[in-house]
Amino acid sequence: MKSDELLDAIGGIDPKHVRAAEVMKPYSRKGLLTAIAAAAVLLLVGLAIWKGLFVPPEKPPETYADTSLDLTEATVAETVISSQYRTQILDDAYADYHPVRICDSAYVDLEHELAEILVEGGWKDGNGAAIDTPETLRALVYPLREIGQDQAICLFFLDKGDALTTTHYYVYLKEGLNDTEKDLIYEKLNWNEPKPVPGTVEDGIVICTTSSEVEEQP
Amino acid sequence: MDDSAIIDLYLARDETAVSETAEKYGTRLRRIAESILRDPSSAEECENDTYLQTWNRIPPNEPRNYFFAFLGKITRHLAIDECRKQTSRKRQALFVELTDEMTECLAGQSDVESEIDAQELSRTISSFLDTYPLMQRNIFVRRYWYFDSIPEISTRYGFSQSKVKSILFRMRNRLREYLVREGYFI
Repeated sequence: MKSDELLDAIGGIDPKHVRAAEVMKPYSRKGLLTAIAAAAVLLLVGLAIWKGLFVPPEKPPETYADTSLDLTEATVAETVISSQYRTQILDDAYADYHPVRICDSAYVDLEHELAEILVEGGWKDGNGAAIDTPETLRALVYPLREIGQDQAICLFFLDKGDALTTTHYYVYLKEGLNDTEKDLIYEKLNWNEPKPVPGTVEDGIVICTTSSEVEEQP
Repeated sequence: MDDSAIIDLYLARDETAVSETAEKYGTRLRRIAESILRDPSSAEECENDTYLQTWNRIPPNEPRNYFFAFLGKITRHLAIDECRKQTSRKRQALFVELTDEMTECLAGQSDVESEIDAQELSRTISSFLDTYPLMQRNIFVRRYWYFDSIPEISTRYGFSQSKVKSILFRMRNRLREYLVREGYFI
């Protein structure tokens, strides 16, 4: 065999590898810079408090999701607090799967990619009405180990959303599962500790109030 | 227009298929050719030849789910062929560099003529890539399929150049071992 033949043969590799290398977005330093800037601000505020030069304002009253809240009269802060980021799979084959939480990659069968799909995501107010134009994101669908595709799937996003990362694995459950079926899935995914972290999803809602809470993993 | 609709135009022998393809993928195809040839006019010629070959190959092919990979593969082959036609003096440095790197994947004195089933070898390389995580796989593909330079890959994925080189070096060694196991160097 000659080296040229090897180079030619690489040209004929599975198209899924070519597509994956094409769609994966270039690395952005924006997240890192934002984190550094936030750390610098915190350091300055900390120093100011320590020096007695700065008195933090009183915490505003709680205004968490109240469905009776009239958002047309709400302040920007109230709108942000009561808003939720929701997603909907646009492909018919998976349209009745809804997000639950993230899971560790060990539970995902990464060797068997099922499809590349489009997901619509966007912020909605306490009444479920869209606050701004939704975003359309690409995602790869994978099966979960030891869990049937007719019950749950896993999404790995190729595009970063306002409240979704390109580094986590998001579990989506099929609509209409009963509690026993759900419990069995939760057990298999070792979800005994029900503490969500910012950027994860819980009952179809991404747990965060602003996009700054969603951070990419290194 | 989505890929499937463009394929339908080819199947119907509708010439707008070519302009739709050029509009959607022209820039990316030209970039692949330029990465190999480092010459805009040759790359453009290569891009146009790609459309002609695509026209001749669809039908019978129907690459609805992998249209870009299908087009890119043609561009890549045309550009490599063009590169080989050039005299060794004019041959592009990157192409020579990549051919040298591929030599590292060959065991012992295996850089000699032999009967190789190209499709089978491609399948073997795909299986080898399947054993790697997404990021390393992409780095390998960006280097040896898209012909990206080390600095380009480094910028794309936010790794240092030495880390990219180290990943590729290890993957080449593993590929050599893998090919030996699969019986390519007997």
